[in-house]
Amino acid sequence: MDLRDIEDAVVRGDAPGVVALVQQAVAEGVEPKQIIAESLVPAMAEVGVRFERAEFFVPEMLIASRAMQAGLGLLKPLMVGEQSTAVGRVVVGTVEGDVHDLGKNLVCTMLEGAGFEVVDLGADVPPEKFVTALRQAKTDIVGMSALMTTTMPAMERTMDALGEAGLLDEVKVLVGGAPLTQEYCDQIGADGYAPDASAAVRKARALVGEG
Amino acid sequence: MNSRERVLLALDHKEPDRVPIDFGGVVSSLHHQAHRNLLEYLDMPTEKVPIMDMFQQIVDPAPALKERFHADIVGLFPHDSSDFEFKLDPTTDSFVDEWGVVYRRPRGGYWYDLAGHPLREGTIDELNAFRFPDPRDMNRVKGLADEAQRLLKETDKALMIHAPIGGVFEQSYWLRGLESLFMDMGHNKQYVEALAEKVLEWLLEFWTLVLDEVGPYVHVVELSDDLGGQHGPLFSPDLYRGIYKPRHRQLADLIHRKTEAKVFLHCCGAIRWALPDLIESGMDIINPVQVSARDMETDRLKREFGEDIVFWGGGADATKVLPFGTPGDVKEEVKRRIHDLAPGGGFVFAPIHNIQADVPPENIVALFEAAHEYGQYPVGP
Repeated sequence: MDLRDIEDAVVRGDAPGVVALVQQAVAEGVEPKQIIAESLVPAMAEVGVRFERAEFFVPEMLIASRAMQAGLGLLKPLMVGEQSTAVGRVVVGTVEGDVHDLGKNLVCTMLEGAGFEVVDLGADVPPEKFVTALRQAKTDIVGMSALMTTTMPAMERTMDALGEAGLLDEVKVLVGGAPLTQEYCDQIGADGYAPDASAAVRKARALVGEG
Repeated sequence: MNSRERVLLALDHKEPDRVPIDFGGVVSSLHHQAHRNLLEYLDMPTEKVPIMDMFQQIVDPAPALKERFHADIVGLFPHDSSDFEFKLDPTTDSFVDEWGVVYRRPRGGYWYDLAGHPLREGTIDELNAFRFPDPRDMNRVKGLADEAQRLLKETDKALMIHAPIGGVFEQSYWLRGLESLFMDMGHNKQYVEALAEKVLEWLLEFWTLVLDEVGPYVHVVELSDDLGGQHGPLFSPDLYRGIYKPRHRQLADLIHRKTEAKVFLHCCGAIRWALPDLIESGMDIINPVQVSARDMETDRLKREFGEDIVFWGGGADATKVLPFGTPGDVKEEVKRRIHDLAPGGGFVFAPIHNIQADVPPENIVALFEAAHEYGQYPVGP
């Protein structure tokens, strides 16, 4: 089968179509890794491009993300025990006091779609929970989101906690969310700012030397 | 010149004696904590004032504060329906509105977030079976005409009537949930349109009832529908033009038929792309002019759209300058926005949305002092 059919179905946001096509590809003996690399990853890259060209907006990105996850959900169990080929490990969360997670969720899926291993800590994440997650496994990037000016200070508190735990030397910090700016990112000593999910993937790739 | 004359001239795209100031409306007030800090800072009595909006935890500011900041507008608020009773659940710090939407405050949070939505399935059957509150419940307008007449007689302010819910898009996602409605936009536009139509029908009924009562007394009618994110449209402009724009037009047309008042649309975010459509739909005023969003440069907006729409807001960048700058930064920012937006009239100064809990009181004072100082016509360079 042509793996580009899966790619097209993801871009269209056709989750049932993706599931059927992925099942077919697996049945035909295509390696899960190859399905991911040659259909899901290019599909999410295409979604990112269309978003940046203003052909896609959040709704189109959301349905494509769900479709990608439906495919990935079938493939992951087939890869248990295999050597990870992830581009890097990213721990992501919306900071303490902030329950907004739509943007953060999109970032997680786009990163996953770009080949990252993503640990999603959810929303309203206290600084110590970030610290614990980073200590659990070697992590390349920690991503923090805040939607409100009133929760931006929680981002600074999380930076402090990471610093006190001695983690800032080994992990890069990527920040995003509506009220944030590059200036604020620099001010709190984060390594990268991304205004949207597509830009977050580009920054993350650059931070792990893949960009 | 009194407040009312000042506002009406500005709305008529003429220069009054100074730029009118809006402080204390549903989208131009402040969090109760910022209000208390401000009164303490000014050595004013910290009197208890009512929470105007539970969700946002904003107050109707103390009258002395409104006078001090030269507020030119006074609000008129329709009531809930007679069978609705507000109840706060203290164990979960949550409440349910008359539509069945659940709001919850995160621990340590300043205000409530949407936490539950009545339209769980997103099917036409569910929508048809859903019981909307009665838009024509007489309690909504009980005493409203008397109150409007009293405000006209006893104050010299312009009168603005506020909407109890958001617009066609906003109330759709209140009922359905933002992420779910976005998914529907991707998969099921027919449902999105059916829901929009139901909300529109409700709003048309509601505004008919309200404006039949107070239409002759009010100067501004507030509508609200956010269309922009920080960097662009929340969803595709094609979808907006197909589903929401025609319904905005129906609402604006109804209001214009019922009253001489101007139609005010609160529409957050990067919305320069939508302004020609909103003008075409009959919106007279755009708020809050979120200057930190993409393509919202005030000099350019005024040049391109200043003759066709009134800018209401623009009062200091609310993501950087107002919360995190110095009072001097705030004054400079206000001066710049007035310089951009005030010439020729067509501008009402207001904070960009409600002032958040942690904004320093000295910055709030600087904001309104600068609005009064630099807002004197003719405005300086």
